[in-house]
Amino acid sequence: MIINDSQLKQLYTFTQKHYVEWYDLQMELVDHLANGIEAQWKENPHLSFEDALQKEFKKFGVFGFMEVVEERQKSLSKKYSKLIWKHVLVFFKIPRIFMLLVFSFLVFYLLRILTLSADYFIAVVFILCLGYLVVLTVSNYRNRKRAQERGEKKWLFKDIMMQQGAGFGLALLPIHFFNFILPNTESFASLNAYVLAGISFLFVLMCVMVYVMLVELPKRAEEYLQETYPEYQLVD
Amino acid sequence: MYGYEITQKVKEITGGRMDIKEGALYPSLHKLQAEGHLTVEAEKVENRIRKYYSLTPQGKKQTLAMLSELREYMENMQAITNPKLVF
Repeated sequence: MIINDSQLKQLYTFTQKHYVEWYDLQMELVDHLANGIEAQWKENPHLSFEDALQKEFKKFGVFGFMEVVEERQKSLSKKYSKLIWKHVLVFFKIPRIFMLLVFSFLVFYLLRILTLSADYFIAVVFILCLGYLVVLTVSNYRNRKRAQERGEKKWLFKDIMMQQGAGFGLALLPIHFFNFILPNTESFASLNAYVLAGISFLFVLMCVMVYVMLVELPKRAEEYLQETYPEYQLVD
Repeated sequence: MYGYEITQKVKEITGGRMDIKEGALYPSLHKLQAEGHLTVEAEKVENRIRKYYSLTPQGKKQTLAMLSELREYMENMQAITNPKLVF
């Protein structure tokens, strides 16, 4: 006896009910459960589908599919961070490194000539970060709703890329950064030139990171999805 | 091998003495895949998609290194519990 199409659908619903929202994980778990149920049927053909499923699910332990989901999230987030760095490192090679240096110099020059208070600068950066987060949250919500209406399948890595998981933390990083190193400084112009150069470079580097997360990676999302999921093309 | 097959194979080879829990299997497989020790291929089998895992050259190397580490550990434990004192 093998699992039929309607039972297969029930298995997908079962995984959804147990907090597995992503199709890539559902698919693997459904195949596992189906194999287990079929093996049970070989030994006891009279066992009901529901009973066999419960028996199979118990083998996952008290946390059910939670650990599987968490570990997958962790490993794919790591993969995402590696991808960001891979793209950022391109900016350290000729010819892009010149762009990095020119922009760093521009920021340095601006901070040098403007008698800008550090507090004022932090406020601007903070507003920019906050604005970025609001725009991101709204667009994510809209995309999610649209995908749901169209009945699109959810892929964990796609979600991580589109939500810029690490971006939330990264976007807030400069605020802490400036807070730490500039506790009592009135203006950036009065800072040591080397420190100011460092700040300028880090600021440009942060902009590059945000650019990679918002533009470069989403542009190549399909390519990375196919690389992550060999099953991506098999799904209708 | 695919996930379910791995659990069964381990049970079969060890005569039922070792039982891999499903809740631990997939997290480990995904972790090893992320670290580059495993590679995945997908295939449509009957009405569902199945994912097959296999060791990468890096994974094979790591397996050998870990086995030798385990052997060394066992030798040390044996030496500690059953020392052959030579005067």
